[in-house]
Amino acid sequence: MKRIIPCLDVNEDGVVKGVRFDRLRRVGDPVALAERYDAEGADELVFLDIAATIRGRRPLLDILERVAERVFLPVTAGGGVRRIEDARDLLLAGADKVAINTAAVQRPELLSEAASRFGAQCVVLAVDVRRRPGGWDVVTHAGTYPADRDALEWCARAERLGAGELLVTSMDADGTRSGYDLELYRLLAAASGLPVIASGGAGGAEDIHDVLEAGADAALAASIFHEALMSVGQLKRALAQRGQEVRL
Amino acid sequence: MITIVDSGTSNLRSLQNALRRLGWESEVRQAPPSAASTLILPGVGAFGHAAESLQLNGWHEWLRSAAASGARLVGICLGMQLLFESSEESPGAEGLGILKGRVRRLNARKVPHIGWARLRGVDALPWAYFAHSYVAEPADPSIVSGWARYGEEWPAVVRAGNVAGVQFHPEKSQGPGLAYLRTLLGDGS
Repeated sequence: MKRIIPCLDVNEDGVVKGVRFDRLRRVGDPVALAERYDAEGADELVFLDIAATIRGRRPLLDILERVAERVFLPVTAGGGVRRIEDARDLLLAGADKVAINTAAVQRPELLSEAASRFGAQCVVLAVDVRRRPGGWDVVTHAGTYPADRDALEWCARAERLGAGELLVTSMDADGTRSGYDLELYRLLAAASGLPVIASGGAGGAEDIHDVLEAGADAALAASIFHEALMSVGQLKRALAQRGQEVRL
Repeated sequence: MITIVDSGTSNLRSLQNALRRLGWESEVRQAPPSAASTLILPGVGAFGHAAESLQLNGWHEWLRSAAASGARLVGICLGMQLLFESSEESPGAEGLGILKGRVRRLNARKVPHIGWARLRGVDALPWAYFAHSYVAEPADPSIVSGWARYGEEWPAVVRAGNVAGVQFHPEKSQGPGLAYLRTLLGDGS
């Protein structure tokens, strides 16, 4: 069953959204948005603290605690997870899965440690990628630092290390609503034995249908939901009409 | 009062929130209480790690005798697997053995299985949320009362008298999941 996952990027101001990781603006209150997407039939929620690599993480923990009281859906949380203790804090606050990005590039064993402590199904490798001729490069630190590492190779290594899921964001497409990078997800889905969550570029049902057809197991989207261009329910019905297997 | 058995896993908050939403108080216990009539054995993570943690805290004998004397016991996800005797995931680790059978790796191209699946045989709950790499293989197939499919079909619900196990997460399966959890625990608890 394919999953539709609204993504809530949070900082001190609440939920924010930008274009290609830049030009952030506030789009709403995290708990209110989470409740709305829950009611609309979202399959999961993702919260990413986009300021946490630079500052503290407390706002995200507060949000998770409040969401967990009201919303009975699987939640993935990430942003600034550097140590096992960070992952544990997020899980204790109410997250079911933890997304690890920059810290895994710096110290890949963190993935193995997290998987053996919490189980592989709990460990999501988050990767931000940018196209280069002939492939994709990994970019760390919230999209600011090129890691000189091939994205597909890094995903394969993360799988061996114990990650349970791949959340791959195309920085080129992020926030543009111009469609997912289909080639990226086609190659990833074919190469990986892990579920792949596609992120970046959703403009409408057709884009999401295309990326699921390309092999992604789940589609993450932010702008189209935050701006209410389409509800999660409307999207899922449109996908079902196109023959996708989604939960309605 | 519902007793939540802590097998060393992190996210017990969601379960407690779900129980609170259903109007029940719960208590997380690392070690066995003097008495308990309704118990939940949750769990995420590795079978061996959780089994060892349960054993260290004296739960093995305690849960076996509680189940034998009629206490209601519900295993969720890894907790369901721990009700069985052993798991391919952690050879040599001793499960509770309250249900006969073993746990084996899911046969599918992409593992872990993460996401929603349709349930067969469970009228009250058409969909449920799963996050697992292993599935139970009961020695007595008649205890299986619900199935789900991912790669292959496998047991999603087992029931044997006062003992039940669900491979999915009812506390993460929205309103219908919570309602199902209520029926598993019995309205009177």
